[in-house]
Amino acid sequence: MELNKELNKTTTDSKGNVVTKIRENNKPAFWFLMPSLLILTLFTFYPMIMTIYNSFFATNIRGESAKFVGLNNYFDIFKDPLFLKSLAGTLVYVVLFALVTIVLGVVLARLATMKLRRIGWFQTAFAGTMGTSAAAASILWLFLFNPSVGIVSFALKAMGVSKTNLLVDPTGAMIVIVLASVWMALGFAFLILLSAFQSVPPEYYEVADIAGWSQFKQTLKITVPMISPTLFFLFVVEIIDGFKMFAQIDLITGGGPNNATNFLAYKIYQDAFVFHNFGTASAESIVLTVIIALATWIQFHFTERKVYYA
Amino acid sequence: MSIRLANISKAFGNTKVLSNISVEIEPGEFFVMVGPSGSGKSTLLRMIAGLASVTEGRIYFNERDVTDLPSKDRKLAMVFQNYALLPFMNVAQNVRFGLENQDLSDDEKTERVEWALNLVHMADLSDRKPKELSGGQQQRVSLARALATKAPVVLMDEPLSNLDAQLRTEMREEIARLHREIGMTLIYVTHDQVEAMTMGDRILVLNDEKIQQLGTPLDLYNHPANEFVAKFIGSPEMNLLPITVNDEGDRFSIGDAFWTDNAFVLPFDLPAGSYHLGIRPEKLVPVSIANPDTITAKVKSLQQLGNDTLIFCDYDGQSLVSRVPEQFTVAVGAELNLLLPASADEWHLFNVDDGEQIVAAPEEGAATYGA
Repeated sequence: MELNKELNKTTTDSKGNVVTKIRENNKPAFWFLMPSLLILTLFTFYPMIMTIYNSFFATNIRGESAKFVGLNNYFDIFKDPLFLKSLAGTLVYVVLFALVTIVLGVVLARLATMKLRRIGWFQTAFAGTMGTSAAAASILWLFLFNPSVGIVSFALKAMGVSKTNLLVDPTGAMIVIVLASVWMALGFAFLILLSAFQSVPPEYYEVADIAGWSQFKQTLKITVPMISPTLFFLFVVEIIDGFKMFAQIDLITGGGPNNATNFLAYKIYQDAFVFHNFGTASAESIVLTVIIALATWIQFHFTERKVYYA
Repeated sequence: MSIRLANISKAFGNTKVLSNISVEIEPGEFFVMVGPSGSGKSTLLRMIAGLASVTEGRIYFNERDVTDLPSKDRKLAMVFQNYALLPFMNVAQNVRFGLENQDLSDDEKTERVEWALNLVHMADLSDRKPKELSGGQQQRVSLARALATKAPVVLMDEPLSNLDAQLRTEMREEIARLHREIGMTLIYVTHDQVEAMTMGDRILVLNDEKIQQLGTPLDLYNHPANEFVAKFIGSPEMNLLPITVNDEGDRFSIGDAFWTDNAFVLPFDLPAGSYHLGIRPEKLVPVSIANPDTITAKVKSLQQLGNDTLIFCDYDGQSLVSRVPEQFTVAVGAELNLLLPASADEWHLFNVDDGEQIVAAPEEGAATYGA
């Protein structure tokens, strides 16, 4: 009994000591965190809180909250057919964009790991889109699909297709936006995947070579499982990126035709800075944030179990 | 299956790794290729496996030219240093992985997997993932994967190098047993001369692009063809001393010149000139009383191995090591009389210029090949 008391006292004492030690040790840590805390507060936390605040208000033309409306902004946007259309279009776009980017990224990375001639040149070219600004890339794609001077229009005409201006067709515009976005995201996806591919020990492929596995089967049964953490990471990143996509729409389609490419990020921008409905735009922003968070949670919850970590 | 390498050369760009290698490997032989790192032994194995291209020369399996055949058509299996077990598959799946493309029914494949896992005593752990196994167990699985294919040729690339010393001894025995039981042609690459000596039917010593010597373990130990093999095989290394023989060819001095007052009697006649004399550490025996056949060296350090004692000495700037098969004590810094071997069998003579063996006394049945 006596011994127990003694023991407890010693444990409590040492716990107290540890806590004090941690506090002392953390003092410099605070100063190291200071710069990023300041910047984050100013440009992320403050706008975030203001957005949540504004989403409960009707705002005037200068963006100042004028009247508390409770959840009415939220009710309104879900009654707005344009928002629902935008939401549906965004979801289609995001899924297409993420899937095509990752599949193409895997194909390119697999090609780049093969011992082919001039592969270094291709590796640079594949990763090259990383260094291209969204604006420049959008203009490039706009020209490609230009009905009078675009090379795609020429090609379609040469193939006998009558509808050569894809940008005036809702499906066509979606395709162009997906292609342009994939093209821009591919560099990053390729680089990340390439490094993942190169980290797979070559012996695995040699064992498979000796056993007589085809290249395709090797990719599917060895590479994909080995790089599944990277695939998962890319999938999350690309989905988030897809939801946030803005520049391509602004420069290529302007949300058209008939709002077919008026995706959420662009609609928020328009509602806020073109139509000056800051309350509505804030509510839409919150909805977008919740959707992204939800999508990420779903992926972590359901996909991550299938991922193998070394 | 017999394997014949005919004038094999390999270059990576402008760097030559192997030149003009010709070897015949008998069916069912345990053939060891040994050499220091960078000697091209792994490259040679990978060429046999079809994983590396052949720059020049041909490879024959059972006298059939397989030089341009892909790996999968060569009917072989390979075991790698890092085991190459897929981490997301369990033990049984990993073994089955090597069988996937063989023309077998599902039941036959399952049977083969069980058979192979039983052979390596891993059947109990067949649903474990590789990371739940020790290094030795992982290598057993990797062996099972190779054996399950029933390939007539099994190649092993330093399979024991990632294991600790105790496991290595155990696995050496295990691989030798599997080879005895199954009788496949086994080509085994290692940089460890102990592995080579204890396991191989024949050993191929590679260095400097070339075959240094090919022979049975005892051949290599007793009659090294050159200084490289002499130093590479055996631990601790063979002692090498420069000696000079007098004009009469009956006496010699240690060093670059002959000194009458510091000369020893030759155990056999030699033409006058300079040689390198090789003496195995166990043939350089310490004796208590100096006589005309002893040299007096200074003890630098001592290693007690329990069964053996290694005595490292200095003789006139020359490092010498003597191995005594008992627990031997001598003070560091003390003078020690070492008896030079009197029997021609215990003498290894090498050419000063190229390090090639000199057949000193053929009438005593020493070496029959070499320079």
